Amino acid sequence: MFGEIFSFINIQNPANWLQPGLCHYLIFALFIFITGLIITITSGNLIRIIIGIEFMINAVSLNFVAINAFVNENNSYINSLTASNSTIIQNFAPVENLFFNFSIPEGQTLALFTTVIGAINMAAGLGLILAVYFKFKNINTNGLNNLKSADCPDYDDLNTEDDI
Amino acid sequence: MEVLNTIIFYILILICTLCAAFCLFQKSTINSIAGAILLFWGFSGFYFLLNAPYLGAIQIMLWGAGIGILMLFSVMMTNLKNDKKNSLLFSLKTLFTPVLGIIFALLIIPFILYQFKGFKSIQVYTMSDFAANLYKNNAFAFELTGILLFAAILGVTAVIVIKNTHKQVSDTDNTGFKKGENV
Amino acid sequence: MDIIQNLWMLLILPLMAAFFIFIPNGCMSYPKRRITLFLTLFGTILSLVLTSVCAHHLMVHNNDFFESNILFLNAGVFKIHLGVLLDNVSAFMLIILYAVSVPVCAFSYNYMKNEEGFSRYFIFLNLFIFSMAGLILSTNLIQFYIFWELVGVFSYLLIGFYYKKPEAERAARKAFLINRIGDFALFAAILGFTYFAIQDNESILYPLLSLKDVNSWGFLAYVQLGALMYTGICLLMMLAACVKSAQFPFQVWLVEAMEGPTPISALIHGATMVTAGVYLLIRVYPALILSPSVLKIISIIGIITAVTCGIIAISQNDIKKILAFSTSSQTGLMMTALGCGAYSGSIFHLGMHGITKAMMFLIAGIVIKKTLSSNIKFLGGLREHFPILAAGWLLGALSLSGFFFSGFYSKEMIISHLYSSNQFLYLGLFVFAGVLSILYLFRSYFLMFEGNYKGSIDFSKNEELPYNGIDLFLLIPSAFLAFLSAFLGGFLAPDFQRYIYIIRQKFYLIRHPELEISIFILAGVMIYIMWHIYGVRRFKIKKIRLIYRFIVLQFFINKIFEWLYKFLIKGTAKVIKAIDKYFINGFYVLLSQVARFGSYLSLRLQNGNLNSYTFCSFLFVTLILLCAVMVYFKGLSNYGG
Repeated sequence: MFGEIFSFINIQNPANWLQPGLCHYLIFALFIFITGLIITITSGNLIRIIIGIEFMINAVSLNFVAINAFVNENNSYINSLTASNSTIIQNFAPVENLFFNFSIPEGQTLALFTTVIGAINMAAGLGLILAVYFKFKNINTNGLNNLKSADCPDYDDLNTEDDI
Repeated sequence: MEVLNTIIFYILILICTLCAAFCLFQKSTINSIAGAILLFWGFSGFYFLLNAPYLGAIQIMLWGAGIGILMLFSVMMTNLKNDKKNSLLFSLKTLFTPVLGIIFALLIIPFILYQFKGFKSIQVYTMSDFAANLYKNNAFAFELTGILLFAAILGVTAVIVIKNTHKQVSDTDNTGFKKGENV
Repeated sequence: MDIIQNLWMLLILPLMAAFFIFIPNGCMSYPKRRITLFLTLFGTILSLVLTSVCAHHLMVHNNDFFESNILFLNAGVFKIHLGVLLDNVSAFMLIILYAVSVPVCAFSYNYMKNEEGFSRYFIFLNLFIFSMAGLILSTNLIQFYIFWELVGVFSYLLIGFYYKKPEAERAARKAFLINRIGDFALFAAILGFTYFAIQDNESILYPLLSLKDVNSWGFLAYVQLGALMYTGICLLMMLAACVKSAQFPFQVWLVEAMEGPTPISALIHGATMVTAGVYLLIRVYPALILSPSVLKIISIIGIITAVTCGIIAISQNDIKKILAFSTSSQTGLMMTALGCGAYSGSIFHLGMHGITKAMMFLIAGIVIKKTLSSNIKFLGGLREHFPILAAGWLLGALSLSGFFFSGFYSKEMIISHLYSSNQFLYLGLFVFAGVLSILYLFRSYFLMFEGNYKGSIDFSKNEELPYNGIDLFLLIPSAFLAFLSAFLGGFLAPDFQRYIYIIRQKFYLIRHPELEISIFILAGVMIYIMWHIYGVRRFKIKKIRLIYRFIVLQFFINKIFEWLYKFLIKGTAKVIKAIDKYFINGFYVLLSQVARFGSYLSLRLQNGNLNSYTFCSFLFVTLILLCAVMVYFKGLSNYGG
């Protein structure tokens, strides 16, 4: 399975490794995803958390678009759901007829929807941030510990004097 | 053509990595917002390389002018000051998170790619393909997303307006704050 | 006869008496003393009358016996019966039991009149008589063991009657614990015999290990075990008898049991309980005969006890302790007689000794009550103040030594058997033990009743009172026992060896006048010597301090028992307590600590910190995904995906 992902790399010519393939995009998206994850987990600031979430959403969109770009739609399962692979249309619809023979970029569509949903998410998050601000007069994750259990042992390495 | 593709790809990767690092290690939130916006513009470059021009354009407009302004306004409205230090960045969690992320990705990605047989070079999509897909196959999702956007905007506005009118009443209310020092 | 059919009454009467005493005394606010006495005396006197009638009947019809059983436990091949067996031996023992119980109960009424545990005393007394009767009347060895243990329990309760005194509590516990050794030995022997007896017992005509038919199971065991192992089992039974009858080295419990009230010492340690051991050996005698050396060992231990306890008794200064050692010594003589083959002589001596010893204990009780001290060094010259008591004590001393009255007949039976069967070593040691009994008994007589009174109580006003101020209730029982002790021997002796006999005993009808006369002369000399030492004070005896101390400390047996108790029993208890606390309990402590640690680890996650919650949610999503992937790929490999 992993051989198929990396199969396009021409092993005989190492110079070809530098050419960007699906793998490069996926690894880069993973890197950005991890960065977003780190920002989300280690921020003492509520706005920074939302920034991290946007990082992750963007990385995922990049994944969608990259996979969409590199997949052969003639053999794909998703494409077989539409009528463009049936032999009747292939007999009666020449390749040049775009009405019957268009490629379907589902990945880009999905990336679009993902981005829009991410923006909506951020808007709702900002509303929550404002509600928190009106209650606590600052935005800091230190104050939001109502869910702390009564028997929890206290530590000293939690950030106490950090981000405001 | 391939060479240009390669060069631009790596330049973009460099820019995006620098922006991500900048965003990660900044103390003040405004600077990290600026870094994030630059990163998203870099992403739009990737979309252009991947034959998704429409998506790249949307990316530039949305993230720069839309989300950036939104974040800026939120920072202004909450009187955000400069941070002092982010000590949590160098704790055990951040060392473990990349490992966790890689494991997560390795668990998910093969499922997706297993559905497809055969990979080849970059497929060429046109804008008309994209539009046709959007309005024919995903029309319902499109409309629904629009309604959702509308509802979100309305809701946020309502929250801000109502909270603003009650701001004087709840100004003196300060409850449940255990560890902070700033009121 | 109708009485024979209703034999269960003999067993149940004291039990009923105890029960009916409990009802008024337990339910009412003040104890009903007279009702208690009446019930007790009714039970015991009626039983005495019934037993006498039965014994007379059995004497007339010589081969008759009555046995009746009920099935108590039925486990297929293993059955336990409870029942009543009245034959010659048990009738005689039962007469002795009730003949001693009736005076003791009457005596106790006055002796315990002002005690606070009056009803408790009488309940225990009746229950003790019941268990002793059950032991005598038992049909099989298992029922015997049940009542053996019951006798031990009630003697513990009665010895520790004054439980508020620490010495009494200690003595009771010591008596019970030492008797446990015997119980264990007897139980082991019963187990051994049951194993062999049970295989042949399909058609149940007799109970398992029947005491009427000892030959059958004894022979079965002997055939299958071989001589050595069979001797081992019989030695276990002998050990049980020795412990119960306070032989050497177990006489310590009897000596300390003198902490109980005096009537209890009379009943238990004079007449009944210490004879339970000898009774056991009497009942299983046909089984003991099969083993070649058990009888020899029995007689060796018996004669050792007789001599040793006699020597120790000479050095004692407490009245009751002298009588206790005397009991051990005489029981040793009974065991010797049994081991040497004088079966009927042993039984007869058992009876006569019981009556006489009980009488002496009662007289000692009166003396203690009147002079308020039990140390004979502080007494003396009581013959002028209480001549009746002096007469009684003298009668008892002569009888126990074996020279007049009934003790003569019993000892003569044994001595003539020993002489006729040419066992001269045992004869010599037997006579030596008799000499020792003269020494300690007459020493006590001369120190108590002759000479000058060394105490501080004024007896002058006693001389005007009738019977010198001794209450009738105290006097009449002692007189009754004195009468029996004087004349019962002569009355029963001529017919006794026809009444109780065993087949191997051949020498019972021969009398040896030369032996008797020589022993008389020896006795007279000894009494004269004692009179001069203690009565007239012509000679003085110097105490050799080392030997004296050695004898007084009973050859350090007490120390050995204390060490055993501390080391074995307490040590085992400590070990088990440590195991329970650290190992068994520690396992549960470990479980709880594990749970506590798990909760500690989990609580660290619930710190209310937003960043921590984010990380943990992502972590657990990944873990769940991992499980799903593993399941999916396992499923794939099953179907060759």
